[in-house]
Amino acid sequence: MREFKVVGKNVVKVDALPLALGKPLFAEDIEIKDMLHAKILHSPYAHARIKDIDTSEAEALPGVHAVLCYKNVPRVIHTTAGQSWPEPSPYDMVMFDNKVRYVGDRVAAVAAETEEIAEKALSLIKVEYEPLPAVFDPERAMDEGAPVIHDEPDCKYLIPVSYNPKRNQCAHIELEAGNFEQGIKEADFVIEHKFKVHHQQHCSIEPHSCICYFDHLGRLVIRSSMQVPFHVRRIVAQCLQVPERMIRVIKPRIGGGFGGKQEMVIEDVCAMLAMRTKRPVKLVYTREEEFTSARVRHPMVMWAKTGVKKNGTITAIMLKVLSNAGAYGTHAMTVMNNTCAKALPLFRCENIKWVADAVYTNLLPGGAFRGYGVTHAAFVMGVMMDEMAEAIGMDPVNFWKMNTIKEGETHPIFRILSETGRGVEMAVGSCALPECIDRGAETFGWKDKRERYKNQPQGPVRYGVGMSCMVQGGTVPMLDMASASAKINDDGSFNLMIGAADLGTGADTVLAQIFAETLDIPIEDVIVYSGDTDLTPFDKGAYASATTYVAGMAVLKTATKIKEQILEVAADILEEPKQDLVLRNKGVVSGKTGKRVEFGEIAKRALHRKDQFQIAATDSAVSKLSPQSFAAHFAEVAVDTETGQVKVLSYVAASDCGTAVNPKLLEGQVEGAVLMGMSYALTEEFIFDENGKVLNPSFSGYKIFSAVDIPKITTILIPSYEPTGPYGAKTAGEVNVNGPLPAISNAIYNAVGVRMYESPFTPEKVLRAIKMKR
Amino acid sequence: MKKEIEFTINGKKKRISVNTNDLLLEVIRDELGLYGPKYGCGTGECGACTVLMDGKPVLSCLTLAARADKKNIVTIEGIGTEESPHPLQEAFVEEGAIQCGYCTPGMILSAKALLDENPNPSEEEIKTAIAGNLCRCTGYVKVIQAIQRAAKKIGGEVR
Amino acid sequence: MVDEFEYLEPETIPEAIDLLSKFGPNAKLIAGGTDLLLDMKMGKVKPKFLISLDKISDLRFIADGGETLRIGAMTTIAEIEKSKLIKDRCPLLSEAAQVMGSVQIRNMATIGGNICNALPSADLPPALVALDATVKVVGKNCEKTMPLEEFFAGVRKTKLEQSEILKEVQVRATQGRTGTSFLKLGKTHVDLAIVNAAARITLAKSGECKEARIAIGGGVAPTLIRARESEEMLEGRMIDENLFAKAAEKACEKLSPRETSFRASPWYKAEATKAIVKRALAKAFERARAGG
Repeated sequence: MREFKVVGKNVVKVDALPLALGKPLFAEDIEIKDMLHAKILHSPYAHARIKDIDTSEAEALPGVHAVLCYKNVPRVIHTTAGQSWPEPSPYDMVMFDNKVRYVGDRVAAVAAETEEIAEKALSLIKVEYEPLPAVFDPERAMDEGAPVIHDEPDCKYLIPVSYNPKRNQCAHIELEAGNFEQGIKEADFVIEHKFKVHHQQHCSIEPHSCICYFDHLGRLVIRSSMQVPFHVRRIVAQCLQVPERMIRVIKPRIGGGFGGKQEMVIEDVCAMLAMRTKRPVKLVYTREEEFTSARVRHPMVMWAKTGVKKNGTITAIMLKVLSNAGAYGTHAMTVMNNTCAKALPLFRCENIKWVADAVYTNLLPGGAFRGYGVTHAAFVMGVMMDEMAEAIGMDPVNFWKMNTIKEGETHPIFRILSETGRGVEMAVGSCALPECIDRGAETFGWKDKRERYKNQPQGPVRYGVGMSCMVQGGTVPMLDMASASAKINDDGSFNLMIGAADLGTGADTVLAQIFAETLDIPIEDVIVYSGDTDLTPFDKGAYASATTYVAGMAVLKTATKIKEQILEVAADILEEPKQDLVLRNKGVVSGKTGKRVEFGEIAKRALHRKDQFQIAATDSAVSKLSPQSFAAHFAEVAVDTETGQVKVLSYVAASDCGTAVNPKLLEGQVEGAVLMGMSYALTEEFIFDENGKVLNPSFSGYKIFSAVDIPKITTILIPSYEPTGPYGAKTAGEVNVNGPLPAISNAIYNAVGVRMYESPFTPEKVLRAIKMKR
Repeated sequence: MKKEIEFTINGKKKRISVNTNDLLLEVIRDELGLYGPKYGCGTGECGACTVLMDGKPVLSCLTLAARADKKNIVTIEGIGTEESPHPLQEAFVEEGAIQCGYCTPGMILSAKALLDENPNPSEEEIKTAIAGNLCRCTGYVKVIQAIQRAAKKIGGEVR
Repeated sequence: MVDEFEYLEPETIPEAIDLLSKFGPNAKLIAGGTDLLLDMKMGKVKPKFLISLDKISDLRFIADGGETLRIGAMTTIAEIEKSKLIKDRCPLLSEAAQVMGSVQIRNMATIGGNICNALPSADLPPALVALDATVKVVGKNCEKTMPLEEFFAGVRKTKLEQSEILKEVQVRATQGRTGTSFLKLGKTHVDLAIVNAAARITLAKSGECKEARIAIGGGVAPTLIRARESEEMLEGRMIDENLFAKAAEKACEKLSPRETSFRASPWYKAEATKAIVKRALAKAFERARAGG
């Protein structure tokens, strides 16, 4: 086990105290003179043409400074997806269109002196709609004669993707490895099921918040709660038709993202209003708008068919995916892609068939969401694995161990497919899954509980246990790039500028730790500044579990360059050969003579005294691979057979995390991911009426767990060492959101003998299933 | 319509004129420049706007500013400083209970009200005390541990 | 955002009543505000005058009346939850107060507001009805008392006239061989009730059920259900677990949930009600036997 000085330690999060003190750090926490307030008018129809809009009364209202709609905004087709360019999402969105495609879609926007006036102005906008027939069921969206949602002539992808909007098909991908039919023939048991995974809202406690203003040079500054400052800059520039250099995007502290802010959701409107009014503008989504007009996890319908031999070998896996993209295709292709690319390589099976379609419907658009498609496949495969194990009479623990990929192994899918479409050949660089399974099972008491629950006392409550394993590949290989810059100050401390976006994940802290480790300095000597397109170098943004791995590598490389410069100056000061010198405790020491010079002195020499130059460096890293992290989860449930309520009693998450740069922060990520997955499995649910309207757009209607709902959770971090990652680190937290759906479904089966193939496992659904079984 | 109100906020007496339809959250943030209490939902369900009114946690997004007349209001800014943070603030920092930090001000105030009344709460009592403060980042695990630690700090068992 | 209004703070009950009569239907009373302000934010109500009851100290009290307890309308749910008197003398009300909302809501919401807002999912009314609660209503020149059960007139409707104020609630103290139980079922712990149920069982010395009360709320009917027929199945006989299931089934006959509710289907509400009522009765019975 490698020991480091700063990496691997529970260093206090660099922004924790300011946040605990309530300092004004979030997007909305500033006061700007003459700021206007913006509001958006949303569509009441799921599908309609806007035949005309009359904004004259709204514009005439005293205090209104601008009203935008399709009539006065240039039509620039784009995607709002926060992805590297050229984006793998269709260009099917326009800032304001003359067509609306879901209840909640954008119709117009107002900027006014106060929020009240802006609201009043919205009510004065007269819209003439021509309602069109709508389609909500993804299984009907591609039917002959289904209403065409994207009938505009200019929607397109920038990259080659199978796209047929006239049939509401947003993307189509297929993959075949080995020989699926042959594999099925060789199986002793063939299992086949249909699954449904439902909508989820991110529910970041801070809604989308954006303030736009102008700097002294007249450049537009966007201060916004989002995860992707550089992508937002590019896309806003595109939509406003201004050069990128005229825009600066600043990411302040963000109150949660989870993928919902890997997107340009409101920045374009806010920016356009600022440009038109030449005044600062604030636009903050209400909680209701978060539910009706932001993004959601893509719901999917999936069909799985697997074959297994009596001896436990999985002979074939087929997964057919139908993803409901909603009204716009942002992230649709890539999320769908991951149901195979990042999920199926978990299994040691050479015969794989995978077919996936993403379709447009007139429901709210899907987007990025923690898990990003792997969550869906992990649910399906987690249940299929449980069924296969039962069919052959094997303990799931052994079945999983036997059939999951090991360190050093490769998988045909790697070579064929990744989010960019092209595959990247690789072997699993680090994998501690077997240990996760063993330690998890032991801590959970798997054997005992399974035995105990075979015979249960009479009573309405039945107990059961279930488990599942999961994987999450980090980064989009060959695509994701991060960079860092650092410079020394007079006193030997450093400013570290990183493009990376800390959204509460602790990225600033973790990256500072990596920097500090490399230069052997205390973390207090690293001042981190992040997420500002003017002052920090490029980073693709916080998604795909890439920050620690890629930005961490960029930081390590930057620190290494700086180390060289320091040694040069130190060699000169100490009059010792550079190769004899080492960094130690914020200084440089000669291994031979013991002579020492402090960083402060080195800095002063370089900045002020001799051969002056700024000790500084910038470097970048690109993810060449997509190293995976793995986890094994165990759930114990109590199912009330009279009310259908499922209560999780205890839950163990054993997570293979590479080197945990900051174990405490990582535990927090794991716990958060598990609880998010758990309430997703049990209580979170969007309810739509027959016209596609969200009926429960509030925290009272859409329930997430509060502190009284949580079970006992045990987090076990199982270290491994990812050779390609900074100090052995790799993606670590995200994978854990993929556990609760399958683990709880399997536990419910163990308790009451019914398989839940459709999420969420609400009391009503569980009760119906129990009654039907009887 | 205007109304004069007089109240104490974070120990300071204040006399201001508010609109009768102003909500306390808006006045605290926009008039008084205290950004600790947050807008999370506006419907009293997430607790991000929690402030203490006469020592009790209330939802400032569902309280008229006028209701604050003659009351004692405390926000997160009023319970500790950089030099001298409240034991809860210290404990939240030490236990890793702060991820994005958006729910933190409300969460800490709810916890403070609990510890002021019940210095030795059980885990169940802690969970109940913060049940009105939603957190999407932490899963509450370290938040509960932080409150337990703070209780020990206040009780002198731990520094 | 809330429309403009004039904010009035009377300090006595007669003052408040005068203001109510003066401004008529343009005025609304505000107690804790947790329901009213939500409605105002959504534009569902737009009063021109808001009469705050916050400064009327006469409305805030918990008084021991011997066989009964009297609770002022502006007493907060938190005050009820924490009251030792209520915990000792009518624990059913304590139990109901504990599961209502969050700490913050309980600090703000009042018993008067919870009753007068008349949401079917309100938590206190079933407990109050099971305690034979009466309400005292004060108007311009009158004061009347009526059983709480009769006070509700429909969804969000009570018998309160325009210029009347709910002054206090009176409940029977439960003692000796009386056991009570309040159960609530929601999607999560902090939630509006899909169904809630309050049960009270008083046993005679001989062990028979002397008196039974079953009140059901939640999204199951426009106003709360007093399951009289179920009560009659229990009163005057020796009771046991089997009877509770039958009593609960009977109570379900009175359910009339909206078809369109998104929280749960009518089928589920009936199933959940059967279970919750049965269990509340069982728990009340257990406590009654322990209390004797």
